[in-house]
Amino acid sequence: MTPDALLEIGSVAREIGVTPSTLRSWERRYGVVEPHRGNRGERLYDAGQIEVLRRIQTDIRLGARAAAAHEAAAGRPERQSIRVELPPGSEAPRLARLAVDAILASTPEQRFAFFARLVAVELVSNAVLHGRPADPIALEIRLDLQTARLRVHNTGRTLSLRQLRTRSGRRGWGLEIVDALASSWTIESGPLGTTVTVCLPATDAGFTDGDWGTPRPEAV
Amino acid sequence: MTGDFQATTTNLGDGLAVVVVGGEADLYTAPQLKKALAAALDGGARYVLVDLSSTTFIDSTTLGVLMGAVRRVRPEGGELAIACDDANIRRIFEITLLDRVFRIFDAPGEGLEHLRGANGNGAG
Repeated sequence: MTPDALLEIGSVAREIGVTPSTLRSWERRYGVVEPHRGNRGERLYDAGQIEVLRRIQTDIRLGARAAAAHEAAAGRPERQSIRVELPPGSEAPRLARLAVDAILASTPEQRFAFFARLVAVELVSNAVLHGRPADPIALEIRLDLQTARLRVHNTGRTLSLRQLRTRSGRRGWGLEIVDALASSWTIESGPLGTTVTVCLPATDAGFTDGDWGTPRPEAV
Repeated sequence: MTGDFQATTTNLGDGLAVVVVGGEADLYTAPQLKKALAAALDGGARYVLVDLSSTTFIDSTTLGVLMGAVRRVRPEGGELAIACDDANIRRIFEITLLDRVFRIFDAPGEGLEHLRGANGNGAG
């Protein structure tokens, strides 16, 4: 981490969609992210810390209490998780399926596994089509008892939900598929790129006919 | 799950063709699927059955390729039908409302019978 990669609290707050005072409050109450300090004592955050704060904020948006979101970020036990970096080409969707297969190898919930693969492929394909061609795509899958969370991050242009919907309308049905399958999802887009996070019910029962959850897209 | 992709085109004559798709179809294999469908259409077929009986995965890119073929056959009064008995794959067509664009049959034989009938009606 080079010094110029550190961001000040105002930039970080804008990046993840909270106020600077919220970040100071989280630091005081939960102590999960302890920022670096600059020459004037100002708070500075590295990329790893920003990612942790982004996860916390996403969990809160998805309905978690702040304390629970910080517990999760601090390493709450979970069934399994995996994070892979995929080359930004057309082979990335296949590699994304392999990552899903790796984490769901022992699940008896085959319908859930099928749609988890589908969502991973749609998110990664979207990142291939819209991300910066030279940079890898990060895919993270976290499997808890009731929920699977898939997160795909790509660098590149800032995207809003409206733009993504428009693009989807031109290109196909990827977003509609994700929207129909997800119990909730968010898109966060800023100077560091675009992150799409999708939560799926981790059971076949969550994908029975006529029961597709209630999508709650939130734009940042 | 190996998922090796294959797409094989058979022109049956009388404007009818079958494209059998096997394995996992996605962004990477989309050009191959496009080529297989183009082989059917360039060979004179207006009625095309896409047989997904041995397909284990499709995505929105696959749907886009299928819609491209529909846009070619429809102006000529043709039809593209799907054979698929996989509930999960059929659900993808339902989610996107494309089950209203394609006739979807459980078995390839049913799909071919339908297209032969449609072809006969079109010719008549």
